[in-house]
Amino acid sequence: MTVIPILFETLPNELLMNIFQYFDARDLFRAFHNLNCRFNRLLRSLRYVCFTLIKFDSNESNDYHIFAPYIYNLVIDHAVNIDLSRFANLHRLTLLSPTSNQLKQVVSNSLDYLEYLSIGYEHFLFSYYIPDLCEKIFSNGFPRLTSCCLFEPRILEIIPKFTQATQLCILKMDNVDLLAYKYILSLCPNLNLFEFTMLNQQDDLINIEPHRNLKKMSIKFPSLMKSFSDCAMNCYLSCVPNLEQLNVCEINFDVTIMVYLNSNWFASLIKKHLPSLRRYKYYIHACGVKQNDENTLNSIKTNFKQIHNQRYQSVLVIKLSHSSLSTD
Amino acid sequence: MAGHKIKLQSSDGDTFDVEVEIAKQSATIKTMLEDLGMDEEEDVIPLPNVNSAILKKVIQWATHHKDDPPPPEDDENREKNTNDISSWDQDFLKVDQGTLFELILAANYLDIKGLLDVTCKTVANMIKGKTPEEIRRTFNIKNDFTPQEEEQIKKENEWCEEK
Repeated sequence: MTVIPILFETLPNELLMNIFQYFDARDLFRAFHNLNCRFNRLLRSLRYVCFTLIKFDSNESNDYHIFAPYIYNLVIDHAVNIDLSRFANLHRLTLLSPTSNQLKQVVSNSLDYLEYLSIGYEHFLFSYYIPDLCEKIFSNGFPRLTSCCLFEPRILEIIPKFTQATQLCILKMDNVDLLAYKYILSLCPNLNLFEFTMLNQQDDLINIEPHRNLKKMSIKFPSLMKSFSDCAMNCYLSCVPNLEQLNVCEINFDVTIMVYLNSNWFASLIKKHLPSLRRYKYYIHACGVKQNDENTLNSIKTNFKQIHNQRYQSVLVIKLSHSSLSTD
Repeated sequence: MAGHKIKLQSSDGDTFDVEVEIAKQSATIKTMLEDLGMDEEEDVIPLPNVNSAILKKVIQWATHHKDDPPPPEDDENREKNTNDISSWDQDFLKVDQGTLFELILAANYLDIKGLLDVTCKTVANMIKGKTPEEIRRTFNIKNDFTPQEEEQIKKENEWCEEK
């Protein structure tokens, strides 16, 4: 019996696609474009496949016109001059260090398929386009945009000017204080997930209208905030009655781990305000802890479990400078 | 049950005794065992799409990786890395092209994600850095373009050569 050897070309399309996943768009098209008719057809079909990730290096030439129409997910991490209008199939766009020119294009191009937009914080950026960008994001200017990560702090100054962004379901931001929190909840009535870094602790009471669609919230306390009072947290939790998942992340330096022994980890607030909570995760990253006292850590774990092992799943993760442990 | 074995039969009729926990790395075999109740030692699981030589290799791979944690779920937005192949896997996959592609087909048929990932990564590494012409030669890929298309392609491919 003659055994016919298996050739690369005899692999079915699904397996060739599997191999394609390990290439970024530039390498993929360099390798397979114009090999033969089948590979060309396969590459053309990639507009429906959600795996492309591309990074442009500033020293690379503008050779992206061949594969740009197929790009689904574009990540730009250098200040490159790129023509976004060529990316007709763009669904996800990440600008890690945005330039004015990039923001200008995000504002001026229609980007009809864009579902996810992430704008990083560039310290040196002085851009006239931030207000226009905000207006486009928060006024349904991208017809399909549902998820946004905005780490540019100047956005928060402009947010009160907008009225409603009904399509946003996922929002991630930095430097949110209670007032900004109030504006965002009011601005995004269909928000499902809100993740933010808290700017400061504010004990003033602010009346916030209940937001009934928010199901998941992640709050990160920056390292300067040593502890966060129930009183301050009360405002954040009292207006999200249907929350199902809450993550709290605390980053602390030079902390004495003993302070967590008497913590109640917002248990009373959860009991009072979050009847639908199903999962609660508390993450502590303590840096510069001099003593790693196992007994204290065990007591903290036991305490957390006793307080929270009720109607929802809870997990406490403590990561120390050079060790980590978690409890379920 | 630790050490409990089943028999796997290749397309050319050879049978292999394999520990159940090792065989269950194949989601296909796991489903057969669970859904069809084939857990007796005398039960033979036929694998008509895998020949003896390849099945032997697959069992060798699964035995080495029996204590591995389950592979992570695919994340479409994560960039896929091809530089994380263990040295054991690299040695294991120093095989001719035909065997490598048969391993990919077997991993796909048996639904062994870890093996499929590592074999596809290996092929990706063989391709990376090569020009289309080098790839055509390496994998004996037939060029089925017309002369007119060929002329056009030469112009289009100039950007690939300018690395």
